[in-house]
Amino acid sequence: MSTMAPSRKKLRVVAADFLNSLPLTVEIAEDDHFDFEYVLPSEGARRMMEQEAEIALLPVAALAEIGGLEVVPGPCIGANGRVESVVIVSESPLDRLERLYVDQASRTSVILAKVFLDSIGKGHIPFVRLSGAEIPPHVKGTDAGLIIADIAFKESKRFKYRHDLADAWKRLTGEPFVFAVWAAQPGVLTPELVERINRRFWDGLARKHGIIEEWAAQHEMPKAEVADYLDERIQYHLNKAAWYGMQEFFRLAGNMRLLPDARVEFAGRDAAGGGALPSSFGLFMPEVVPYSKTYGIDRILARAEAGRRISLYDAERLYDEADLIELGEVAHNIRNRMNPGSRVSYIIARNINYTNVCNVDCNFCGFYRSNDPKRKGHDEGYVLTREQIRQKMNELADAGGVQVLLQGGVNPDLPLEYFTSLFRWMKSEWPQIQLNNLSADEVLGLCPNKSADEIEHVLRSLREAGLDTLAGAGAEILVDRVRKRVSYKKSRSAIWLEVMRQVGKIGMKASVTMLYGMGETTRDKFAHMAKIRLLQDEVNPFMVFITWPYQKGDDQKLKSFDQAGATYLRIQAISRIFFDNIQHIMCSWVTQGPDIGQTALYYGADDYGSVMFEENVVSASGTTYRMNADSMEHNIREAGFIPFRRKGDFSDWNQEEHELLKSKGIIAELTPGMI
Amino acid sequence: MADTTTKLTTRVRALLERGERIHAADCRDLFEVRDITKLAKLARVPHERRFGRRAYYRDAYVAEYRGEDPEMFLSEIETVAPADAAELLLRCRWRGGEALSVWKERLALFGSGRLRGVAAIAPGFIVRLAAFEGIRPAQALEELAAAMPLLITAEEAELFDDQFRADRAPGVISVDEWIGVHRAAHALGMKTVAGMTYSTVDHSSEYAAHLDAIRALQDETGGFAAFVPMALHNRGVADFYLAAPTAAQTLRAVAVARIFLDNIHHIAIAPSHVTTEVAVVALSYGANLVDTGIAVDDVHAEEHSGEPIGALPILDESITVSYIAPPMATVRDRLAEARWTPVGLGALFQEHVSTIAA
Ligand code: SF4
Repeated sequence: MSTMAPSRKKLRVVAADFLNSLPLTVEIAEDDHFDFEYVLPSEGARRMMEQEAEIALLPVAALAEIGGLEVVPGPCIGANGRVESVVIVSESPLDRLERLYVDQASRTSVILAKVFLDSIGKGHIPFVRLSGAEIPPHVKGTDAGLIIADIAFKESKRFKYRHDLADAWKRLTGEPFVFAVWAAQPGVLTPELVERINRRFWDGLARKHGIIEEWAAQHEMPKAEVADYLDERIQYHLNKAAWYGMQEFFRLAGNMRLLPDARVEFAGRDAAGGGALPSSFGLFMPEVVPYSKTYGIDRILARAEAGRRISLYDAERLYDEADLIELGEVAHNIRNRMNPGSRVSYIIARNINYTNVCNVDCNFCGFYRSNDPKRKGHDEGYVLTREQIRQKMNELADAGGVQVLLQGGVNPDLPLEYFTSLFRWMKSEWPQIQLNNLSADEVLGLCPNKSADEIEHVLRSLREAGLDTLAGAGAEILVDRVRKRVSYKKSRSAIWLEVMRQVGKIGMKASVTMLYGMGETTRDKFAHMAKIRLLQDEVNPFMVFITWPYQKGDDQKLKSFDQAGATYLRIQAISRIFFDNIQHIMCSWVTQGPDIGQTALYYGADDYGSVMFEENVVSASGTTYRMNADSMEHNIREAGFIPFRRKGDFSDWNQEEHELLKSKGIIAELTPGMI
Repeated sequence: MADTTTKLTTRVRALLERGERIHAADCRDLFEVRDITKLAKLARVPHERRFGRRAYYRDAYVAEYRGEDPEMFLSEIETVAPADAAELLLRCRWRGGEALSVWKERLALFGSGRLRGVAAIAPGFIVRLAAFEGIRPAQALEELAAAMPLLITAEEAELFDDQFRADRAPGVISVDEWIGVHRAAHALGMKTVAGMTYSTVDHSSEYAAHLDAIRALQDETGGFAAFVPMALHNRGVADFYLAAPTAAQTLRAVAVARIFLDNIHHIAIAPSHVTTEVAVVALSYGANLVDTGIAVDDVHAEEHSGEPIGALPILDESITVSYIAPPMATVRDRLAEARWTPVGLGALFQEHVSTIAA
């Protein structure tokens, strides 16, 4: 579990430099005791999630998502009524709204909007994510916008209808709304530190009028408006009412499965709930029963089974402490709820590794050959010819295959036109075979600038050429300190996620993976999952999650860890529990072998993956399992499930449809023994 | 079926929680339960009572004696045995035409080595040697045991079912002979290992009858230190995937054995039969001992050599490492990674004899 002892000389503290946060941060920023940095709220959340900061001024949604953090008593950023900086604007009354554009930068506000709309019977209206500045032009007719911060100040007044969300919250619950609090990694805060943060906070409040003058001048805003905001709108004290407001928000958002069940601990208490408390400021210190007592493993599992969302910290605790069978049972029950009917799918698909030339140099990869003539193995680099691809596709078609996974290295010599022409040709020759091609890094290899617009353009071009779904390979662990170590040149996590964000935005689907066992921490594993879950909430790109451990082959430099099949089952089960928003979990019999693969059907998997014709990436590490359709069906049945063959989009493979294609000569007779 | 299963598991749980015995008919029905998690949760009741989070592994160095020069063999073995090996477990096979006196000499030599040695001997060895010498198996057993400590293994237990033995394991000793050797060993105060073959085809009634016979013998003698379910690796089957049982069958056999055999302390699982990974997972289904001393039958392994890698990777492992168990360090690491407390257990289960008696 991640308890962070303060081993560094200076504590790393991060906060956003928003107007409302300045009274809390100006003094801390100048305090030598801290290594302070202003960052975007999402970056602050990332640093806390990945334990790259000890203390952060954290939006409360992130507090719940991460879990297990301690809240500093005393200061907060809240509002006891109208706040003016978080507003739903529209040209139609609330009851006529049909769509809400939301600012993707503020998850807390988006969830608050959802809770509010739900309370007035409008919880069903779709949310569309845009950047803040894009929202006002979209607000027309029955389309509303959730605008925040500067944009809210500047733009909200020009709309006919304005609904201040803090005010709405106050009317809904009778309590203040808390947007952000100082949060710390467990074990970091001491009573002295809490007192220090509070002193800085009070000193910061004393500088409020300086802050107002400076901000008004810099942002060309009326001073009175800025003063009204800081003096009248923002509540800086985490008093009893604010505390209850925060708990109520967690409760309602938890009920709606928008946030994990959140428990907040206050700093300065020992394990028994007592301990020395900072006294100088007469802080409100509600009775908080220690986390471990209120939420034992059983309770986390029971609540997850009942459909509640679990936090990153809960997932870590399950990994460290849960019994394997209990974990499996809950994962299996959740799987049965999400994919009922005791059915287990599999697919007849094949990999085609069209090129092994790659300039990314991952330490864990035994497959690629460098395009650098000076590098060993350069002469073993290949790009398959159309004829070679034709032969493999014909084998797949003859076997009744419905999906191909075209996957290779990031070959700098292959331009976008190579892929669009290849995909068009494949689609015209084998229309019945879905193209589930390319990793995020192969897509990025076609985007020299790596901008969101460029990624979107490339994806649209590939889709237009016939790409059905994007393969999810290459996610590895979406924590940059791990990525830098195992694959320095590979995309950083934010850009990998951006590719998938664009996939979701243009309405495509992808798979998503996790390659563990590369020496990453438990926290890294679940930070990876947390990032995926957030993106899935945002744009819903993922159909299926698959995980497997890195397995070191003779040629690889990187050591492997976490190799036990029992660990694989544990992680897969937690993934099923954690991903309440991803429909399918596929087991990885290719890396684990058919036996652990079969057992994994009791640990949350509802998909047994694909028959294996050929696979060169995993097998480059020495893993060489093969199964045909008979073996797969036998294993599924033997475990007590009903096997069914699926298509790439997880719909049932249809025998009649297949026969029709056959009668039209589009696909050939099955070759016995082929699959 | 779901209702029947719930009734069955509820009844069995109540019996287990009260520390009472499961009837053979329930044992048969438990083999029919598809949901292995339900079985695991039942098996946990007696398992936790006996072992908590402790998982045992054999910390003996296992070697196969294949008839080479005994002195050379011993010196080689002592050179390669890892420093952390507590004992030497020598697997010995009677290859026909070898006299009792020859084996007594060999065992006496092996018993005098640097490492404490134990000879793992199958009941068939004793039966065939006794027939060759024209003596009673009990006598052969006694004379060999005087030369070196013996561990009588579960080999050739197969299924105590004549039809099964005739069809699937022709040439093995009879059920009476197998039981006779173990009974004689128990009478001499030896601890032995019981076993049962499970295969790609379910034989619920036969499994239940077999376990019932084992349990009855244990009631009579108390001499079994462990029970091991043994995966039958079929020879020459047309469908390659039918060559060995799947993990679900393994875990089912382990769990039912733990539920039913209330009088046998250890339920062992052999990595060489089911892979190390499945063996470690089996600890959550009622096994408590990862037994690296058990090998896949060499005849079966040879039959598969040269076959392509197929549905069942175990076949491949059993060919290449048929008698080389995973290194102790690997087993220990895997146990710890799976959140068990690893405990080394000697070849003869010495430290547990008293626990078993208790
Ligand atoms: S894993 Fe993929 S990106 Fe990395 S070196 Fe191998 S082929 Fe290239």
